[in-house]
Amino acid sequence: MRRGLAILALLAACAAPLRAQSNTSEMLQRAIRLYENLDIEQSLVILNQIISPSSPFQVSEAQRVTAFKYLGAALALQRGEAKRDSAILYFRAALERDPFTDLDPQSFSPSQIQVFGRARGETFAVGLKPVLADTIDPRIQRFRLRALTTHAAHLRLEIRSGGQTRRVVYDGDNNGLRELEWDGLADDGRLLAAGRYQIVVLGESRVIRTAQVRDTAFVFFQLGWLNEPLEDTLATLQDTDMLPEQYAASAATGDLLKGVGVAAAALLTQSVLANSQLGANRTAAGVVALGGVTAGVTAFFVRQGHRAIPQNILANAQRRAERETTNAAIRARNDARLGEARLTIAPAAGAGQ
Amino acid sequence: MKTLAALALISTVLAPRARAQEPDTAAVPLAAPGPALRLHIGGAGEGRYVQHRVDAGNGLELQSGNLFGGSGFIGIGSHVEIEAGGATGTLTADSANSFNATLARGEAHVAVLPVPWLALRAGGAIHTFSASFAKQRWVSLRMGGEARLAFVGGKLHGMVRFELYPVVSVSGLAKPSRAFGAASGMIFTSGVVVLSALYELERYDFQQLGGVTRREQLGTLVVGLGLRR
Repeated sequence: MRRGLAILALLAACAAPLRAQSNTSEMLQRAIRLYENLDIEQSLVILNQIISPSSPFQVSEAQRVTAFKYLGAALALQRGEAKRDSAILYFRAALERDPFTDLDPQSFSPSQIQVFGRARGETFAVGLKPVLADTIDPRIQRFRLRALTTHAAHLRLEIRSGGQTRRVVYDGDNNGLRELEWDGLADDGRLLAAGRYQIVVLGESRVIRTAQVRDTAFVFFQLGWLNEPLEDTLATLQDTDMLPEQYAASAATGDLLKGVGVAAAALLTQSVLANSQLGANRTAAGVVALGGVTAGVTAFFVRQGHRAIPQNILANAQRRAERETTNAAIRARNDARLGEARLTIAPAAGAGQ
Repeated sequence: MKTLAALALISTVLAPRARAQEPDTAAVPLAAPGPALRLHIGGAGEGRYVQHRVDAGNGLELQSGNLFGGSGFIGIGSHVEIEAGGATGTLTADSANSFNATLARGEAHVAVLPVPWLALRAGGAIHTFSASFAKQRWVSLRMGGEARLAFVGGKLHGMVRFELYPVVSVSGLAKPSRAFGAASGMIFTSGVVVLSALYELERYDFQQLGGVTRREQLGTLVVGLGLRR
């Protein structure tokens, strides 16, 4: 029994916001029906309840924009300058919240559209439609972007990343909605690398001359590449990968010591290891000792003057050339794969107007 | 015979793996080392100037002369070497109490190289002294080590060797109480040509017998010229 009550309470708690949203939606639909039935006064009451700060219901931004739009449309039907001004204010409120707000000529009268046009002329805002997930072949397809200015203005649409402009997609005059295409390239003609980017629209009104009236909007998106896996190029050759191109400075001394060592061994053999009572062949030992010393001394001086190791220098040069050739081939294959890459675009967190 | 040792030394010098491990060149092999059991072969001719010194209680007997011969070499990979060779010639008496004789000698050994600069050797040698009145044969088993000192550039090597002769048999004599040998020299290689000059000493001390202690010694200057591949 107690558990049942808890479940009911939980369901009631979850249902509350849904009911609030639903109530706003119902109220909005009722207000629109009343408006369409020309029951303007009743419609205005409900619409004012929706936009009222004291409304007990949750009101989404889209619902609020719709409410402002119908408030403006309802007041535009009423006579009097004050009503008309109020209509303009409501239309402006809708436009400021959503620059894409528009009146369908099939559903609204020319006088309403005229008032809405005045509101557009007095309100400057730029709008940018959210990015839709898409995949294109940049060689033959384009991403579609939609931007808008509420009236005549200078419009600039850029692709940015890390605070830097990577591509200017449009830079010129505009009035109303503009559909643009972007091929995925940066200004330098190369495909943008995969990553997070920002589409920024900047507008400056050409109508309101009293001051510089500007507006911006931006959305973030994630750009990805669909291509065959790329090959890694060979790593830079380290010292440990290369043969020494010079003998160490100690090599000459080492050779000298080896020669002297052989000479010493010959002399020691003759003088120490030989039987002292028999004596030994001093000439033979002396010849070898002289040969050892001569070799050591010669090697010492030759090595001091010629420390380069030609065969290692040649081998290293060949190794470097082989690496460069291999890397060039890898880069060529990678470029070919990237040339056939397809681009994906998807909305990313941080979108906003 | 000792030229064989020189050829063996060159074997390791020419072997790719051995060269890569030489500390002087500190080379890192650019290509994969060759087959593990690559064979190296070689042959050489040698000339020996030998002094034979003996004291058998009658004062120093001295003989000397030149021997000529040749040797062959097989290297299996860079860690095993097999050498065999021989030489013969006439020794003439250099002292009044000595006599002319013909010396023929043969030697064979196997060397294992745990590192390129060190060969552990084991083998045997036979000497035969032939005089007009008698013939004496020496047979010895030998084991020892040989250090090979590579000069920078790889063309020149120094060599120092020491061997013990644990088993020696001499016809007509008792076994010597102490027998060993030593050698040192230089080996020069240019392409497939190998030139060597070594000084060798073989010493045999016998136990005192009847108040007389016999001592024998061979001192040799060996010059060799050969081909290796």
